[in-house]
Amino acid sequence: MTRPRILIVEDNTTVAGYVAILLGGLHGLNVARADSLAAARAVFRSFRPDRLVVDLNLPDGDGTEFLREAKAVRPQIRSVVTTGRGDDDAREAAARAGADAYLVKPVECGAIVEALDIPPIHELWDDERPGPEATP
Amino acid sequence: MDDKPKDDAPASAPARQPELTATIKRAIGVGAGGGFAVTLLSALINPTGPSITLGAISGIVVGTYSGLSDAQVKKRRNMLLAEAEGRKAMIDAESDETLRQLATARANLASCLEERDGLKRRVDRLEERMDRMYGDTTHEIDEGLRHKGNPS
Repeated sequence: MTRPRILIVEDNTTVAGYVAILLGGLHGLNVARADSLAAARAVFRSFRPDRLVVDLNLPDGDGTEFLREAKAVRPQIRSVVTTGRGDDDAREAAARAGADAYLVKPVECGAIVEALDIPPIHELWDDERPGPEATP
Repeated sequence: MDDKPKDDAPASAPARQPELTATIKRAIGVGAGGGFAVTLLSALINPTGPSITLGAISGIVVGTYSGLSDAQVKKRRNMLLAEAEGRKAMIDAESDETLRQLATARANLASCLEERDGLKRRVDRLEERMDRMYGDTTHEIDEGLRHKGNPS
């Protein structure tokens, strides 16, 4: 099983750290972090993620900008917006940018995992077990 | 009315013939191959018995000249018996070895099944432990996101 590569675009280091622990530490996925729009663009090119967790309010711009750019390059990429904004305008903007899910903070682990379509942890864990064809 | 058969009555001869033949066979110690000799002797002793036929003549020719001597028959019989004994011993040995291998395989299989069950129990316990740890950790993360993660 190919493990998803997750890019977390979040300027709040606490939130970013918890989400990284959840997806990287617990689920064992490949996780990269970016705390600004500029950093997100750079990491996106080098890291080539297939899942995005994007905050809307970033120090140098709006997360929907990055989301729109990422979707234009890779339309199949799955993306989740996590934000403190619960208003309809923000939701609609995120949807137009191509967000697959919109979560209002404080988000919960189960919601993030489900929105990103992360395989159950047992399946990821099973992937690490030696198969019958494995040599000792 | 006198029921006793008359000694010279030809009708009584066939009835007596099998008994006479058996007696002669026992006396001269012959088997199936000696049919003609018996017939011949029967005919000599009891002229009222069956006559010597061409078939009986051919029987004795075949019995005399196509068969093996008693010694040869005995020798061949002993060889066949010895061979049969050898084969039986070989089959018994192979059978014993097969049974031994089966017993070993069964013991190994039982051991493997026991080990598998043990490993499965360990995996189950580890998965339960992992689920608990996952639940505890995500709960802590949820708490952290709720209280320490400033909405932005």
